[in-house]
Order: sequence, then structure tokens, then C-alpha cells
Amino acid sequence: MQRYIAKRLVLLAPVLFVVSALVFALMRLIPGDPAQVLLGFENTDPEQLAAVRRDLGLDRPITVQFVRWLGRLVRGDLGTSARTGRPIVALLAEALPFTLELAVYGLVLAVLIAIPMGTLAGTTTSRLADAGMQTLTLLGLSLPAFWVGSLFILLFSVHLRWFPVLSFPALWRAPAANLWGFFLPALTLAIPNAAAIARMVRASMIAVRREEYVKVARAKGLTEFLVVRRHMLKNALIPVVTLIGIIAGYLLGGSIVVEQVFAIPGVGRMGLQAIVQRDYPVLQAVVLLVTFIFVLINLLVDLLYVFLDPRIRYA
Amino acid sequence: MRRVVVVLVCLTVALMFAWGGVQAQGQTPQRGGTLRVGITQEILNLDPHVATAFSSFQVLDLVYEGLLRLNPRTLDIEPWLAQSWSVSPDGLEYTITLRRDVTFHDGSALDATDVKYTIDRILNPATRSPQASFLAPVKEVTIVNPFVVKITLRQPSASFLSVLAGRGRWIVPLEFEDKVGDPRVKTLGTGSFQLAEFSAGSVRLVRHERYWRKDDQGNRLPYADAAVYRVIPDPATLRAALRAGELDLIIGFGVDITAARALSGVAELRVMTVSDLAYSLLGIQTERPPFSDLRVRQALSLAVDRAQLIQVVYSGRATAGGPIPPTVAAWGPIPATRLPNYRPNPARSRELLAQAGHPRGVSIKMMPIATVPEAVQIAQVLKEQLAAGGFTVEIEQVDFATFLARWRGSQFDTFVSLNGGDIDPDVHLYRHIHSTGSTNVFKFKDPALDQLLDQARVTPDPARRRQMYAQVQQAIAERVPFLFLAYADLFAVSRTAVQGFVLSSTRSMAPLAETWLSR
Repeated sequence: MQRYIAKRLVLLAPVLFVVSALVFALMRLIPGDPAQVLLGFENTDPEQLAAVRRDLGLDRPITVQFVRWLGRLVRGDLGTSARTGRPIVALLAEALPFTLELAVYGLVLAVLIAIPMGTLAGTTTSRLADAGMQTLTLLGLSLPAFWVGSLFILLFSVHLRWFPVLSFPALWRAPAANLWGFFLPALTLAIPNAAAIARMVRASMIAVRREEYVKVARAKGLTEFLVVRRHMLKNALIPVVTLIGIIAGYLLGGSIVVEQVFAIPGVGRMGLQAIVQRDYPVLQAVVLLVTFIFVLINLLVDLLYVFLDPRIRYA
Repeated sequence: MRRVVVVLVCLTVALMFAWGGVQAQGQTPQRGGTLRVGITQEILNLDPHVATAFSSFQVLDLVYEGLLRLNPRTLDIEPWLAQSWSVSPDGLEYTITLRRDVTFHDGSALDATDVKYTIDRILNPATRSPQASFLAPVKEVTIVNPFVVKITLRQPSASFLSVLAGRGRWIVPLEFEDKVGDPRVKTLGTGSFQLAEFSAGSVRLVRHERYWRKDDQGNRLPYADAAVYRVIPDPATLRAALRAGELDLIIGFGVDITAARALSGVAELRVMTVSDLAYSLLGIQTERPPFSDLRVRQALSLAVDRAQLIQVVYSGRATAGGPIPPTVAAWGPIPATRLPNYRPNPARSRELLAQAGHPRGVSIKMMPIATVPEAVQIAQVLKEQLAAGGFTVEIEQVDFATFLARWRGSQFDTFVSLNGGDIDPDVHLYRHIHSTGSTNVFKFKDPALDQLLDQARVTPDPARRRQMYAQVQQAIAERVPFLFLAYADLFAVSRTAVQGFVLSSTRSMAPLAETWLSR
């Protein structure tokens, strides 16, 4: 088991390298010059442009730029933002808590909504209830986050005044206010994912419904609740956990829209701004971080299988 | 008994009047509170001489001050950190006397060395200041005494006072860079507020306790304890936050006619509006075909119906102006309807195209800028209008950085964008239209116009200058370096508790010093 974890962690390095190299090359392939973005519309002096390009190291061949960047990275230096001059580590330290909290909160809400809904839909004998669930999940999957988010703000913040629009205090300082302030963005993020998970739970439940061990459990005279909870759900959850793992990774990237709508200064918005303004070092750092977390979550999911199904072993 | 009743009635009436007086005094400014301002664009760089983003200026307006300023209402040039100034008869020497009661946020007093340092810093190529081109005529700055500086120019510059009054020519203290460390994220100015916190999503400014200005009653400004800028990229969320009472004022790019319409009529909100100095334009690459032919450029101008454009895109809340902003009456702006080629005439447009060898019309590309919300709408309306005049338009949507690269390299047929305006016609026009202009990406060259602009630049007499700019306006409309489309109305929306804010055509946030919250 430990060897397996070690092997997976070692494999992380080449993944990060390839992703970094790809992003490095892609960013430089698309048109637009970070130096000109820095100078804006006021300045077209070619000498100044050349000077800014020199400052940013953009006058060197791309391979030299990449090696330099890697060299600094190995020493733990992510560099400074081309646009603001602030150290990227500090920018990430500001932004990451918002995004992590949003992702975790969103995932928890998604699971809390999806598992009961999916279980109900997968075990009910009422066709109407099942069709209702299916319709709801289809809606949840189809509604775009920017629209749902705006609607939530209008309804719950402007008209009903239940939730604040812009209140995101630190979790450790004001836990209640924080969870309250983050509820609408987290819910917006949760809805499409809850729908996807619920559909998966329903399908898995239907699949295990006919398994022998379920029949045995029923024959033993267990209550329906215990049959579902102990025997069906636990076995149905394996594919669901895989899906949740993938979703957890995507939540980090998927929060871009939600961060934009709810004005949350998180990593998603940081990455988006970096693309718009061609802030190469910031984008590199954001992609690296998101990739790292994504791979890490996938590893965690693989380990989680062992606990859900003792038949799975890693050598 | 009766007398007692009379006295009581009199007292009651007197008390009521007194109470009414107190109520009216509710209009006297109250100190304290935090002004919460919502803006849509990220605040990036706070270096007063390097920043170019409008969002940066919105913060810097409160932190830094210039020698002179533009009155936010009248747009007149007024003394500010400079108490007075005089200009030598040959227009080459500006002697400037400073106020003696101004201190920087670190407590040090403003004197002549700071002014010299500031101008030297802007002109130093290592600073890479976009403001350097405005101060290019400066030959040297000499310190006459601690509170008097003399600025000597290489050649007379009719716009020099307005240059000193403009944004970005803000005064910083001697050894500024050593004192602040990194001026992109730290500040040190004389303004009414000083920087307390700066993060990606918000900026917090607190009162400069030793700010030099006082109101008419002798109360020291600013009234508010703090000002907070919140960055909210989504305009719908921006409006919602104001309605929910979490912001006091919204201003800037997200606050357009749509926002003003959505929010007018909401009880606790007030909509403010003023005509903008900035204008939307249709840029033209004049160096290569088809627009290297003057007739094709004139045809383009004749095919545009500005009145309709303004109705569709701005719901009528804009002015079809020419080369000089309609708000700057002093320089005699000629209304678009009286300028050559500015009245729509698609039939004449097709005729001109035929004369230029395009009897079947021409196909052109049009690139709207991504950061100005109405630019795409303008491009769509123009596409329809130009079709009648014989132009087939293909709209190219590119992202901001791509737009900028192609703008700079003059790699476009046409583009739709927004140009910042200025109260001085030289600052407003020269850099875009003169063949050596720093932002003449149109590659426009016209020796006669060059000569006119050069002459007007060194003519100090306002009356003669005004005549020259009347010629300049006519010549621009005839030679068509690009199309001036519209000067839109600017909007800001505040909660009714916000008092004393003046929305200026210059978009300056400096009036927040005199803004207060009634409770």
C-alpha cells in the first residue's frame, strides 16, 4: 500500500512537467503580448516595449524561458506576477482559501443533495417519483451556472434579503457568517454536480437491486432501510466515488464561472485574469496548482476504494 | 391662564421651527463611516506614473494629487497643490508657487524638491512612464526656493497647464521609490485617503488625518473614515450588491444605460449622469487598401447613421460628436450634423465607392474591443448600416490581448473601441492624428493637418487657437483618419444616503473626499 502511494506520488512529477510544458508553449502560441498589455493603450514606443519585454525575460528563446522557470520552480520560487509585480505565492495564498472552501462546500452540498435523491429514485416503485427525480436532475444539469447564480442573488439577496451578496469573511474568524455568505455560491456550484451524482447513484442502485446478496439480506428479514443502507448503498457507491473524485477535480476549475458571478477573488478568477492579461507566470502557477490538486484527489479516490470494498487491494 | 396658554403655544411653535432647523441641518456633512464603491475591473498597478488601467486611476485619484486640477463640475483648470502660477511672455517658463500646508501620508511636508523629483521620475526612461510623452516639452525643472519651482520648456506648449492638471502627473515625495519599496503595490501621496489594504478583489483606503483641505465650515476633509473599492466583474451582481445595501456607489464600465434603467425608480437609490469626455470610434487602417483611398474613407463615414446608432446602442443617451467633445464648449465643438461626411447618405457612399473602383462595394473586417461592453453592439449596428452604403462587414471577435497586439501593429481594416478624451484639444487629438503621434495606429498622414496641429500646439492665444481648431475639426471630418461615433453619457448610481459626490466627465473619484453618508 505504501509502495503504491509512493509510486503514484513519483508519477506526479512527469505529469506536472508535461502539463507545465504544454501550458508554457500554448500561452506563447496564442496572439497577444504581455509587454503590450502592461503598457496599455497609452504607449506604443518600440523602445519601451522592448525594455518591458527584457524585464519580463520575454526576449529570450522560449526554451531558455522554460528552463529558467523550471529552475526557479525547483527552488520553490513561483516568480512574480508580470502584471502587478506581486509574488505569486502571496497571490495564491490569498486566493486559494476561497476556491478550496467553495469546492469543498460545493461538493458537500452536492453529495448531501445527490445521495438521498438518487437512492430514492433508484429504490422507489413509484414511476411518478422516479420521473420527477429524472426531470429535476436533467434541469440541474442543463441550467448554466451564471444564470442560476444571478437568479439566486436576485431572489435570495436582493428581494428576500436572506443572504449577503459580498460577504466572505475568513472561516476561522467568523465560521457562521462565512458558511452563510458562501452558501449561494456553493449551492450554485453544487447543483449540476448534484444532478450528475444523483443520476449515477440511481443507476447503481438499480444495478445492485437484483444482486443475490440483496435478496439474501431481504430473506434474513432486515428492514428495507437496513437493506438499502448496509447492502445496496455501500456497494452502489464505488462508481459514485469515482465520479465524485473526478468532480472534485473539476470543481476547482469549474468555480471560475461561480467566482466571476459572485465576485469571489479565488484561484479561478485569478487564472481567468491571467489569461486575459497574458500574465504568463501567474497562469503557469495556477495551472500547476490545479493539476497538482487534481492528481492528488484522484489518488485519494483510488485509496478510498479499499475502504469501500475490501476486495480491492493495491500491491 | 390665557397668557400661559399663549406663551406655551409660542414656545411650541418656536420649538417646531427650531426642530425644522435641526432637520435642515441634517444636510450638513456628517463625519465617519465607510464609503463602499463597486467597480467591475481588477485593480492592477498603483504606480501613479506607470498605471494605465482605468481601475487603477479610480484608486489613485484619492491617493495622489497634481499641481493643478480640473474642477469636476466645470472642467476648469484650478490651482491645487500649486497655489498660483505665472507664465513668461514667450510661453517657455512656468513659475509655480506651492501651498505650504500640504503633507504626504508619512507626515513629511511638500516642497519644491518633490515637484522636481516627480517630473524627473516621469521623464526618466527607466520609469517607463506613459506620462513621459505629455511632459516631453519640459527642458528642465529648477528649484527657485523651497516653495517655488520653475519649469522651462523647449518650445511653447499651449496645453501645458492642462497636462499638469491631468491624471498621472501626480506629485510624489523625493526618494519616492526608496520610501515605498514597490510603488506598484504601495503608495505615498498627498491625497485625501491613504492605502491600508490591497488585494486582488478589494482595496481599502483610510482617511489621511493631516489632509490639507477643509470645507466651507472649516472642517477638515475627507468626511468618511474609509473608502473601500470592491471588484465585482459581473454587472448584474454589481447592481444586486448595491440594491442589497452592500455597496454605496457603483461607477465605471459596468454602470451603463442598462444599469441606470434597471435601478432608476428604486426608492433608496439615486442615478447620476454626465456627458463623457471619452468617445467611441471606428478606427481605420488608412495606409493600405481599400482605405488608403480617401474616397473609400469618406464613403465609410457617409454610410454611418450616428443618430440611429445612438438610439439602438445607448438608448439615446449619447451625443453624436465630432473631433472635439461636446462638453468642452470653450474650444468650439462643431456638432456632428454640421461636419462634412457626418450626415448619413448611403447613396453617395456607393457613388464614391464606384468612383474609387469598387462598383460592387468592398468587403472589410471589423474588430470590436472585448473590454468595452457596447463595442460589439456598435459593430453589429455598423454592419447593418454599412451594408446599405456598399460595405460588406465581417466582425472579428478577439480577446483583449489580441486586440491590443493588433491595434499596436496596425493589423486591422477597422476596429471599434473607446478613446479617453481630454479637455485640451491638443491632448485630445494630436497623439491620434498627427503623423508622428504616439498612438496614431491608423497610420494616418496628412501634411496639412500635421501643420495645423503643430501650429495650434504652440499658439498660446486662446482665441487664435480656437480658430485653428475649428479648421482642424473640418479637416479631420474631410480627411477621415477615423470616425468619431458618439460621446456617451456616463452613469453612477448611489444609495440616497450618499451625499456630496460629484460625477465628473473626467471620471475622477477625487470628489469622494467631500462625500459623506447621512445616517
